[in-house]
This record gives sequence, structure tokens and C-alpha cells, in this order.
Amino acid sequence: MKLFRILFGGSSTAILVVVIMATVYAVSSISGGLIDSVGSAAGAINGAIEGAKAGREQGLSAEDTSASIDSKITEVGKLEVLTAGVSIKNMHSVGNNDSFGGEKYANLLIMKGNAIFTVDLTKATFDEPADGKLTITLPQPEMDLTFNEEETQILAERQNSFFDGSAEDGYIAYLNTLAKSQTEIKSVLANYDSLMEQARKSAETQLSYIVQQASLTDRELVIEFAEEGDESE
Amino acid sequence: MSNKKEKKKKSVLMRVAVSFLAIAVVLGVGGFVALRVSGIGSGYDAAYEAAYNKAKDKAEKAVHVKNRISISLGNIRETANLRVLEVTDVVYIIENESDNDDGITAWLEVPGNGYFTVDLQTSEFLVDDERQEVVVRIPEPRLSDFTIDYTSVNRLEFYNSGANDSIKVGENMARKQCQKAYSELHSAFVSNPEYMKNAKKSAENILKNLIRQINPEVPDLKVIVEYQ
Repeated sequence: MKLFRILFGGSSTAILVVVIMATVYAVSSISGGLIDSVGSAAGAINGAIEGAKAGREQGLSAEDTSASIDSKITEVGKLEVLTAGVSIKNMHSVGNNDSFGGEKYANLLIMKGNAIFTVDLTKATFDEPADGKLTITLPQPEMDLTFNEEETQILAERQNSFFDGSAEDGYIAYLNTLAKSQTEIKSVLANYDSLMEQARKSAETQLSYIVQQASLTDRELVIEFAEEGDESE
Repeated sequence: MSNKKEKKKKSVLMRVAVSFLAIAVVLGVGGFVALRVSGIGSGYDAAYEAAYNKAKDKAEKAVHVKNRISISLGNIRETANLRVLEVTDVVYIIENESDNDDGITAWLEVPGNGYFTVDLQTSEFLVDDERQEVVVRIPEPRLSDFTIDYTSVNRLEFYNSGANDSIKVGENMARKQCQKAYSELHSAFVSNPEYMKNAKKSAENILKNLIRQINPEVPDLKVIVEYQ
């Protein structure tokens, strides 16, 4: 009590203090919003300070160091059995501009390349000839897609206004478009049944011809394809 | 008497002010500690999530890239090109600020790969039963399939010192660099004598193995590979 008196003097002061404390407590506990707002702000401030500190340490740690072999040569033994010329028309656009309507940028991009079907002869199995018959089991054909960059061209192009969007956005958009297109087109063509069937037939024809030409013995040739997922590495 | 009253009044006001300050400090420190310990209130997560989603949607829409691709196939042909060597390499296409009118610095790492092939349709197979020998005359390997691996293209640096320019400027810069990379990689593959030397060696190995596998009944088979 003595301490209370020293600190707060008379009873009227004490009442005033109690009223203030009660008001603060009541306001914060009734609304809850004050705490939340303070919480959001505190979270953002703490996060920014501690994140910046951790990021700086991590950034300077040189953890992001890697080494790779860029140039290499590998012996392969795949027989290309079918090639199809591929012409791609891409209606490409970037961004939506709410103020002016439509895209910020659009072009009509033409690309050319080849879809090449191969069978990997290093994964083929040659059975021991029996009853005058040689059986060769081939893996399923695989498909590679090549683009001839020299034939890539823009047939038409439109930019909303000169300062709409940024050059860096356009740079990234173009590179990502090529990467996605390569993956997507390859996937579509690799699952194109009629092309795959033609590739199998061609593999049989071409390999039969080679076997016939290079054999010292006359015998019947049987060419089979391994089931998918049943191919030895 | 009046002076004493005045003095007492001042003293009370001073104490009120000190008390108020003390309470504020206690509430502030206490609140701060409580917020940190308790996970900073339910408002934090909700505010963060709402702001994040709104900003993300807006930003995505502003630069949404759309591609509508149609594919035409033509010139479908059966082939018998034997891939004998795969070559991969990387080129760095450096565009500095002074190289263009837009003040753009753009460094690009572009990997590419190609295959050296031997056309077996134009090859000759000479079989000698008596000598148990097969002679194969093949054309020299050539780089027949070559492409940039766009999925592994790596942006090393991009800096725009001038105005923000436009999407068109950036797209054209990327296209120009890809075309330059294609040309440089192709030249590097074709002109490297080591690649041709290895392709020939590889062609011999692959054909010898293949022909021996075709003739398992002839263990001492001799296979000779010659170039036309």
C-alpha cells in the first residue's frame, strides 16, 4: 500500500490508472483486431529482419557452387528408322492488359524440325538360332525432336504499347515458351499411335534388310518388340 | 496554502504521467513477447495469405504466357541411319549493353546435342562364306541430327540499363541469341576433327558387334569396316 501510495499518490489517481488499464484491456480483448494487426505488422517486421540476416549469410556462404561437364561424347547404337518433318505454328501471347484490353504482346511463331524415331540396337536381344530361325527382340521405338533454329520465324507480331511490360519479361517468356514447346510437342508426337506403328514396321524392314545382307547363313528371321517397361538397360 | 495545493496538483500529474508511461511500456513489452511466443496472432496468417494470393493472381495475369500450338507432319520417310556418336556441348552467348540499342546486358548458356550417323541404306555388305568374313563399306559419318536443348537453357545475367523497354524487345533478344547459339554449336560440332575421328571409331565398333550378333554360329567371324 505504501509503495502504491508513493507511486500513485491519492485514490483518485489510482482509479484513473485502473480505468486506463481496464480500457486498454477491454478494447484489445473485445475486438481482437488490434492484436491481429499488431501481430501482422510484427510478423512482417521480424520476418524481414531475420530473413534478411539469414539470407545474407546464406547468400555469401558459396553453397551454390557446382561443377559440370559441358562437353562430352558418347558412343551410341541406335538405328533411326523413321523421320517425319515437323512444322509448328504457335500463336503466342504474353500478359493481359485490363486498361486497353487484350494481350500486351502477341506473335505468330513458325518453327520447323524433325521427329526422329529410333530403336536402340544395344538393347536388342539376339536369341541363339534354333530350327533355322533367328529371333531378335527390339526395344520399343523412341522419339527425338529436333528444331532447326535457323528456320524459326515470326510471321506476325503485335505490341500493345512500347512501355507495356518489360524486356526481361519478354526474354523469359520466349525462353520458357521454347522449353515448354519442346517438351509438349515431343510428348504429343511420342504418343501418336500411327507414327509409332510406322516406326515399328520400318524397324522390322530395315533390320531385316541388314540381317539379310550381313548373314553368312540362310535362315528365317523373327523380329519382335519387347513390351514397354520390359526392356533391359 | 494555494502554493501547496498547486505543488500537490503538479506532483499528482507527474505521477499519473509516469504511471501511464510505465503501463504503456509494460503493455508494449508484454504484448511483443506474447505475440512472439504465441505465433503472433491469428491475424498474421490470414493477412499474409490474403495478400499473397491477391498479389500472385494479379502478377500472374499481368505476364501470363499463352501458347496455342498446332503441328503439321510431312515428308515421312523410312530410314536406316545408324547413330554412332552423340556429342553435346555448351555455348555462351554474350550480349553486352554496348552491343545493342536498348541498353540490355544478356548472357545466355545454351546446351546442344547432335548425333553422327552412318547411312546403312547406302552401305554395301560383302559376305565371304569361305573366309568367314563380312566386309562393310559405309559412307563417312555425318552430323545428321542436331538441336538445342531448350529445357536446359540457362539465363546467366539480364540487366536493362535503359528504360523498361517492352516485351517485344526481350522476345527478339532471346530469339536472336538462340539463333546465334544454334549456328555456333552447329559449326563447333561439324568442324571438330576429334568428333569425326571418334564417330568413325564408334561406327566400326558398333557395326562389328552388330554383325557378330547376327552371325552367332560363326565364332571366328571377321568383320572389316571400310569407308566408301
